[in-house]
Amino acid sequence: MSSLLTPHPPILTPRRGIGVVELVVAVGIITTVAVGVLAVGRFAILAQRVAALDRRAVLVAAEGMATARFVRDANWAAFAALPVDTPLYPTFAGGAVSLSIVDPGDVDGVFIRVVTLSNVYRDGSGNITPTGTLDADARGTDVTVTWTDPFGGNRSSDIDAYLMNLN
Amino acid sequence: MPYSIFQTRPVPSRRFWFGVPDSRFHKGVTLIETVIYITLFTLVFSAATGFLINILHVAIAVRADQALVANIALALKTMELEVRHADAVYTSTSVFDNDGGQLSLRTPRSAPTDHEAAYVDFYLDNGVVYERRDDGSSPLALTSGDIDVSVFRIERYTSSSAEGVRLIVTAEPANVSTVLTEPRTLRTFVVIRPFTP
Repeated sequence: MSSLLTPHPPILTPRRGIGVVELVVAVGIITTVAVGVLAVGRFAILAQRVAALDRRAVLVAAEGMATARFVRDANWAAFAALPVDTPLYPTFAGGAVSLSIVDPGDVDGVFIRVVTLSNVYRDGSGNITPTGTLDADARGTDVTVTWTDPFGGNRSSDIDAYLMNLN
Repeated sequence: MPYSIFQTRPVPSRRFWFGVPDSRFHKGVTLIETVIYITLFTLVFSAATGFLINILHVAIAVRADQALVANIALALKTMELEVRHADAVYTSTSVFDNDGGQLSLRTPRSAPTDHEAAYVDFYLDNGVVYERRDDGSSPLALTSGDIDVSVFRIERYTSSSAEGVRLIVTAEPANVSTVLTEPRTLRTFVVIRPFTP
């Protein structure tokens, strides 16, 4: 009965030591922070991969334009006879360079490269315009490279030029 | 209802919570709490450390990959520029369609005073692509020692009125685990268009 004589403060939940709930909360916070840091790190790494792919895509597109120039230099008539507004694919096969309507497959298994030719029209002053007189000695040339980045997004790189008959 | 100072503290009905002692009814830290804490902390710390080390490895590999691509691209750009200025491909010393190829060019750039043209070679030696000019200077490394070039391939395409050279370089980082990296192949195609005044 000594407890009846010993006054105690009316504390219902004296908190001493570390409780399981506190432990779980602490572990949860630590885990959340760790996962956040790792997510940021992963994002940074993927962003660097995106940059590397961008750099490669520029080279792939430039090679496509060089292919069109080679075909133009080799034979303007054959180049001018290629279909306009139709996907063409640079092809290196059998020691020959060509722009083919047959898709040889993705470049490096990553990039889709398409060359599209278009007619060139000029106005009375010789300026290039959307409509006008067809310039038979010029072709609009568009090289588009598309690929999927590590985030799953679609990206593209594009080079445009007018190729003229130099002969 | 407030407790009187003469009342005892309420007797807790549960001193255990799923088998774990509830600290509200005990003073200090029990052994089992310490064990649980250490176990959970170890698990979280191990997982976080493992992830962090893995991420660091991947980051190193990605940075090496980026440097690899930049290095190859720069070397290709240097060679492309030289090809653009060249008069012709010097086929006598060029090696085509070979993974250890050599490209020799006849170029008016930096020609000696008593010569119309100079000759420049691009070749692969011991994992490094070099540029060598015929002016007696030492060969210049176009790729760094951080990458190991395994393929330096030259393809020559000709027609009656056009000549082009395709340069293909395959390399991988030299000092990074090959488990995390893979060889990169970059290529460029250059049309030779001699300057005719």
